[in-house]
Amino acid sequence: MEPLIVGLDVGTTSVKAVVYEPDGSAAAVATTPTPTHYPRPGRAYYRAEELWDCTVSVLRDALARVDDPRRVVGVAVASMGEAGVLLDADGRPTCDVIAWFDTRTTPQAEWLDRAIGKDRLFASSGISLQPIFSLAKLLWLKEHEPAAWARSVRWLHVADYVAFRLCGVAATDYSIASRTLMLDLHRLRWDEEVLREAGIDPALLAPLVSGGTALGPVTSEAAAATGLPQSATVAAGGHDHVCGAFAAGTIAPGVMLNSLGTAEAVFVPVAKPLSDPQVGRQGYAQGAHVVDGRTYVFAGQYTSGASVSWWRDVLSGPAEKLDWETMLAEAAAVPPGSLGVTFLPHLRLANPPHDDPRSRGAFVGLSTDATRGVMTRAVLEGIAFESRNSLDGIVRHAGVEAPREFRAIGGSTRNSLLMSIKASIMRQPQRIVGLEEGTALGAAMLGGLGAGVYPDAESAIAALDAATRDVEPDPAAVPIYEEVYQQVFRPLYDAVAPLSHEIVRMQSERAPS
Amino acid sequence: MSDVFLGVDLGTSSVKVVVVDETGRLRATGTGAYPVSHPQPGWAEQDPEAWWRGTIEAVRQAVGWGGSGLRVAGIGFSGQMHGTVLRDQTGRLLAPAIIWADGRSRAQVEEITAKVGPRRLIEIAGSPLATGFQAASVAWVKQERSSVWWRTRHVMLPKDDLRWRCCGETATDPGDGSSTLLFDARWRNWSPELLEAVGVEQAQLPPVQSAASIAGELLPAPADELGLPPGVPLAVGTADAASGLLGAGIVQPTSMLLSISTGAQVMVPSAAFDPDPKGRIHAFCSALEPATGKPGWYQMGATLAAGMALKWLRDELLGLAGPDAYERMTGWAAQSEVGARGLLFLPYLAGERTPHMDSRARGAFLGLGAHHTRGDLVRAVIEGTTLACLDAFAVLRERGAAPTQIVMAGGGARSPLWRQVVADAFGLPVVALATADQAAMGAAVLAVAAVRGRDPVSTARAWAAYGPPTEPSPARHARYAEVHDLFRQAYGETIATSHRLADFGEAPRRQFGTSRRPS
Repeated sequence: MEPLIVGLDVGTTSVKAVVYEPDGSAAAVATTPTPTHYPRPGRAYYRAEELWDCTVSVLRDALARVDDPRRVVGVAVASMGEAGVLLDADGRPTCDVIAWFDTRTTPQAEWLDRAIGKDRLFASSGISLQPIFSLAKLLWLKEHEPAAWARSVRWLHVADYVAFRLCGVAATDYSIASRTLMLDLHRLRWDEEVLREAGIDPALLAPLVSGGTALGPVTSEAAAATGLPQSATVAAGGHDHVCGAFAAGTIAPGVMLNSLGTAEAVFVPVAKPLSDPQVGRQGYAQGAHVVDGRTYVFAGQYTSGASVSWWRDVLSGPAEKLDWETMLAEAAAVPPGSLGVTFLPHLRLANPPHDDPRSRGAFVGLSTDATRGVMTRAVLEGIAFESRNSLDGIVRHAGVEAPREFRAIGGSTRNSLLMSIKASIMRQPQRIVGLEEGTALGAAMLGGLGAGVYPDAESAIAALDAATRDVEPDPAAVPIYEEVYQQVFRPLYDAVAPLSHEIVRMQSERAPS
Repeated sequence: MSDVFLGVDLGTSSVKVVVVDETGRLRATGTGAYPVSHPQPGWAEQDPEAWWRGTIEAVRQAVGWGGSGLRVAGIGFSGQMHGTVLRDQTGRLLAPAIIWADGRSRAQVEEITAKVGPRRLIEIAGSPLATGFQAASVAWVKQERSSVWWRTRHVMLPKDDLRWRCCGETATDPGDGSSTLLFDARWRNWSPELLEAVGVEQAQLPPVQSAASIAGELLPAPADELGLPPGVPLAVGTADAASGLLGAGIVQPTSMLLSISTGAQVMVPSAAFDPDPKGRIHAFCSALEPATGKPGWYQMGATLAAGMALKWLRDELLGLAGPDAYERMTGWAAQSEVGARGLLFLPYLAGERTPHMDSRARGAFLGLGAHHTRGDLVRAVIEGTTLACLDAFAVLRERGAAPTQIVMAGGGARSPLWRQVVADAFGLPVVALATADQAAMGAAVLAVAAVRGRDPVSTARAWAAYGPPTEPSPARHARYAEVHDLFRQAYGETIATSHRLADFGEAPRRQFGTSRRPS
């Protein structure tokens, strides 16, 4: 009997179960929206029971479409980071799951900065203090839910909790732990000193394991509810985007992953955590991989595809949208360098290596030759320059190996003009990896590792039958982009930042309170 | 038969003709369009043949509309300044006209300025030299197109070339002559020193006459093409800026003209030749002769992209068609607020003159956020072009200009939103000139003055009409003062980037394999 593996993806918008063959082809998929509660502006939460109910329902749906669910040998869970739930001694939730993006914890983050300090937190965790991290959520619960806090014996993150419901074993993998501020990234253990100073009992936290570690078989109760066979092994999963990076074959230095969508991310495996505090101040995050506690550095770009759709909206107005194909054809007819028009894609904030929420976007170099096609091309070039700049900022740090292979996943990889611009700006071929539900696939591969389907992570990647396509740089365009990047794009942020700050200040003074 | 006068204004995008009777009543208008071609980035050329075809069309239209029973008693001319038309001794055209917007002659500008000395140049000519000015364009042709230059017998300004075509006599006036920078603006004649510096013979240039004098009579062949009788007297006329002042009735230093068309001009008449030693504004000769106790000069700050910027937004970015496109755009802009919700536009799409005198400046949108819509873009463009005018005005004010009201003219004056933005940004009441085509009207004033011997000052005053005033709001004025500070800061912060981009845009044509623009 050929084995099957199952990946669960508990994400911001949906909960997904995908059943895969070991070569990564999907045998069955089921999805349901993630029930999210918004009690008031700035606040959002999930209910742990509802997340479990969703998991049960998507597993049942997906497994019902498989000829023989007993073929399933391994399962693991990927989820959003930072969010988690407190459990009582009977394993029952004592509180709601504060959404990962909820900002109610700003005062707790400010307290952490005063009490422990950003730099010390960075030195241990490798990430720069932000309110969304799990430690701030724990402090909030301690302060605002004292009764629940008193009854609680364990804190589990969303992926941990779902795995716990499947197999009864509580564990946290290093990638999820990397989003807590409580992990000592250098030693891969909970930082007891930070926990003590923050007033959190280390016993509240689950044992740390690597993704793919077998936790145990599916419980009879979970088997009955979900349709999974009791013989299947539940393995530790991980943080969703790290699972996606695993599926895309990005686990070792020398290979980087660019995931392209509304937002964009540059994911760079590194040999060991970077200890230069600049890394955090520049807005980079780092963390442990789902594979063997290896390390990656991460740069988010918040308005990547979002810049392109914003530009289309600006041109179109509220009514009928401009035809996307026409816009791209116009941009494709413009020579590289967009006749000197350059776009800075900071429509909401700056991206690494600039950590600046008050940065704003810009079009510079406008002349009457700047047609719509010129401007559209400048937008595409601007988002490509921005990710080059994020990558260069990582590579400049000591001990970081420059990637030799550039992999790309996500919806925007379908934009062939963007991909060829990126290849020329990065001066490297872009290898587009076609994956079906990369995050769930990475989780399923971890399930396969736990169940012994694959001997190791490299074999799991090698076993995949993923279609790849290489987009080559245009040799004529490379020197043109290099000149614009070095002479114009790189200095652009510094040139316009003081002005952007003034503009943001004026706007915030004007904003109705 | 009642007598009428034609005012012909040779603009950048079209020629406009007005038919006016002796009381200043507008009887008819005509227009004929032609393109600007950009054979290389930064170049701007026009075909004088296209000017002529446009003029024929416009004159026939205007005279046709005017109906029978009219006798054309004189024609006056006005035209785009600075440009260069080269003809050989038989009158044959040697090259396309290099117009004011052309940017090819940066090296020549630097050479001539260094040779004469920047202060000395301004003392003589009233302004620093810029690309597109005749002195620079001629020097470019001498250096880069020597085969054209050695055949050049006549170097003419656009409207002088048009008039020459009508009467076969060459002439220019102090107003247009002073726009070449080969001219001594104080003594109102060609400057031997500047001619020598550039290497032009005075014989290649037309003789200088008063704007309100007769240059010649309409010859039979062109008369036939225009559909007019031969022998009509032709007044010399003047530069479109000076002509526009007359047409707008601005003949005293208490009124300021803000003319917003392709570019924008801020102009205040002045009784003395008083150039800015820093060269941020122009002191040009007006259409009036100072010997008669009238302001013989005016000071002008010019911004290069005003209506051009809004048109660029309409055509190149938003792709809006239809006669109500601008109205729709300003409607969206009215939904935005002062400061365009944190969006700044630097309108230097074609470089900038006053006050930066920088042909390598480039435009920018700054402060872009995900919340911005096209209404904010439109508002930012209107505000940015207005603040550039305010920058220009600040220099005039430094030189002592203290107008108490603004007369707005040009396409921008037709927009109530734009008038309000100007009133608020400047903190002065604004009236819109009701007379359209003030430069063509000014040309008609000069025709009447030349042919009938009438006083151009009182004629101009009697003919101009204005709409109701738009008052400034003190609260919005204060707000614009803040936005204006940001606007100046923005220029300073982006200028190095702009220069690099301008150089990139004009780098070897590797990036510009194909010509995108029909010309």
